[in-house]
Amino acid sequence: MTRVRFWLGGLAVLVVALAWARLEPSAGTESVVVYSARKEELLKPVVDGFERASGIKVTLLSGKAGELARRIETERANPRSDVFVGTTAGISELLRERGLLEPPDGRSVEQIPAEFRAPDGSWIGVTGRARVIIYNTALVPAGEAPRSFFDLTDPKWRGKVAVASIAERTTVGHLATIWKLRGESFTRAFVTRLRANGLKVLSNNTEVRKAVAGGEYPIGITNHYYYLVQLHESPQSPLGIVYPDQGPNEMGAPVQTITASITRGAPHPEAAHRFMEYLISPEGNRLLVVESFELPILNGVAPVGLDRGIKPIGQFKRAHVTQLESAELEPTIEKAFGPLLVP
Amino acid sequence: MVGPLAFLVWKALGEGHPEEWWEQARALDVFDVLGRLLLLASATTLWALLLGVSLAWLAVRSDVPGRQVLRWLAPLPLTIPPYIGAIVYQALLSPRGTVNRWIASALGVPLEHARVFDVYGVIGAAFVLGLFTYPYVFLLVSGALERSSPALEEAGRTAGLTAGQVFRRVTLPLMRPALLAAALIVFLYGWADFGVVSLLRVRTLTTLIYDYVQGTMDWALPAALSVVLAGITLTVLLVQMRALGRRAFTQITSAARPWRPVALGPWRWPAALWAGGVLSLGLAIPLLTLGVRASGLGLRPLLALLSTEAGPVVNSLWTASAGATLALGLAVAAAWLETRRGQGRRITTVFQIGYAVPGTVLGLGMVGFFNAALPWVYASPLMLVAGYVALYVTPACQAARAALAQLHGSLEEAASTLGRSQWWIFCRITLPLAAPGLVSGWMLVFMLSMRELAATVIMRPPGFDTLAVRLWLYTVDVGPEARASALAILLVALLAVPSLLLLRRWARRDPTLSDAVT
Repeated sequence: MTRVRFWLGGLAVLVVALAWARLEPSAGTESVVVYSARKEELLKPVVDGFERASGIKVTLLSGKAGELARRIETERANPRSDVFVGTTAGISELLRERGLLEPPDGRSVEQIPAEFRAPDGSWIGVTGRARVIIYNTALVPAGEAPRSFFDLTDPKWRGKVAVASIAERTTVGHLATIWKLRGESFTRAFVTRLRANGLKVLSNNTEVRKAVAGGEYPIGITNHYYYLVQLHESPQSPLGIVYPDQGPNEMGAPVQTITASITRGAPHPEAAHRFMEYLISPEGNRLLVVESFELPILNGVAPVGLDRGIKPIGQFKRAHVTQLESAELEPTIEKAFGPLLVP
Repeated sequence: MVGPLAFLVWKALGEGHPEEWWEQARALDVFDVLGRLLLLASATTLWALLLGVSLAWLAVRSDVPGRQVLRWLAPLPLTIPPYIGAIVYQALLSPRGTVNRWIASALGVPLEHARVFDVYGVIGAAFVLGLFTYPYVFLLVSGALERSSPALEEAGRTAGLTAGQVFRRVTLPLMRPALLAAALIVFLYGWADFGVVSLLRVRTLTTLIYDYVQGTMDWALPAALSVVLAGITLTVLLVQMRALGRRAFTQITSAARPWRPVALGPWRWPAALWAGGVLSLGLAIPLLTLGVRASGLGLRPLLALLSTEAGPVVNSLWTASAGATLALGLAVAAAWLETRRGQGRRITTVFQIGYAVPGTVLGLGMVGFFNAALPWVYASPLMLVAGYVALYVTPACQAARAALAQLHGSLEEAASTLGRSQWWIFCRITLPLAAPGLVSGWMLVFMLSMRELAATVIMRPPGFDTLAVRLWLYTVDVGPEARASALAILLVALLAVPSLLLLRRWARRDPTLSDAVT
């Protein structure tokens, strides 16, 4: 008899739990659903700031850009996301081409320089990230650190270079920049030579920064903010940074942007617009820059890490590729190098 | 169950260009990857068999010191999900890990020269996977050893065979069904695993699919790869079913004479050392490492972490409970049909599909399938519950079948002749009597669902994470590892409750658990 009661009790708990879970979302406060390819830890400051400033609750789903975009497409008939935040422009551009983004009504768009957004403003760049070389100062004296990405095919760096896999959008964006400026055959040859030189492909940029700081690999190709994150986490890390290809005939360091866009048919359009505006407002943008070490692309926001070797946009030679050009090449890059740059 | 797979097949054929597949397959070195996967699964199986059989034999048949303690502790590593084990051993045995650092400082050499251990790669992954799946082997083999009669082995010894020969020529063949069943469980586990191989940088088909799902919007390739993976897994499962044949359960009345343990002689203490070593690797070291790392967090941040993660904990608990309840419900129905009516064998076979399909593949298929077919389930936690049911209904069926089959039909027949309805018989007689076995099944599915990672990562609705997913995000996210360790301990603690209850039941020699695990 007690067994039956146990079962009934369990069933009751189950029912109550289910009911409570279903009721919770419609609890009344306005909300906005954000699909973020940006790591949750790094987006959280601006999400919290927005919730405080506007009183709108943010439901965050973090994952990889491809997975999130796949969801947005699957949900085409019945959209569940309001805002998509991508780590480069590639996936946002794909979404735009497939008609999954809402063209904006002009409010936020003009502030963003044209090279950092879609022509019709469907997606906008929010903050920038420079592609840099980080190196372990205990293993590589500052004078000997490589000054160009293309130096890394030199035999003296054999087996000593780590990079994040093609699953990371910034790796794709980096190669897209090179492809745009130097062409297909050059880029293919470059990747082939890098691999022949023992390039180590790690799962993600966090592994790259940890591996370089730990001495496992002297050289890492990654995004500038990982340098600051590593120093923030362990201030004693023997880490140096190089903005590569700065010479007069050289390419310049690639810069990509985080992009934000509103999904077509978003369930909470007004809240979505407010979130977007917050991202590029001085207050919100500053949170991204200060807490997540991004490079500001808007006027009026000061960069961080200047005392650690970080250079703001405008003070280093930048590769001349717009986000749109880079974005359009991303699928090509995935196809060309997908199988080659996996861990 | 069939729906998600069908969806994947449809996507693979519809959007892919089959001519390209051969090219892409070669570019991806798919055959390389498959070969590596086969190697991993085989190595894991061998290692788990070695650990499990040796410990089972020692605990049941020998006079090793601390036998009772061994018997109780040996299955406990089952409580620790293998990907948590991978987190621990990645920290300890990676080239820059703790152990290598100790060696370097002990020998006084720089770290680059002291790289004795490198856990990355197939060997490391097999080591970790085998270490945390050997309890399946232990449970099945020790159960078989305990239930078999000592007569044959004693006959062997009287005939003049040494202990080693008795083991090889008498004991091992007797254990063959249990060995085969256990080997297949572990093999499938290694084959379908995602967490361990991802952390320890082994490129298998599951990580390949995952990378493609996460990195691109392309459906065709991951769908095609998923179909291949599922196909091979199903084949292995079919082989299993053929090899084991149809199993008939009978109540084994214990007419066995009490056991005379085999005297180990000079091997007593080495054997004890071996057992102790295995237990340290599988239990003490992981828990200690996690504890030390988590303690680096400080009390206030720890409490803050626990309060932020309270939501996912609740999510885990209720989706796992719901999944276990639904799975048991289905299982009881199917098992009742099978044992009382002799029908429904085909239903349980269909259920096996869900068990065979790796979590990554199932998650992918479910997302597409539910969005197309049942949108109100999609983007709600119910999809997770459905996923757990699909994945784990098979162990539930095994438990239910074992529980129901052990009941003697006479009670039910008596009630029937007295004029009671089938439904009354079921509720008042069958269920209460079968309840202990059913509760074991429930707890098993609950445990498996709580720690499920691969499918949950793909299927979770916005804002709804489980503890396992949070742990995973912390492990691969930026941020100090102390938090991942703290969450890992929390997960293990939550799993320990049903796990210990299950093992206590097993220790009291309830046969339904061993059968449920098969």
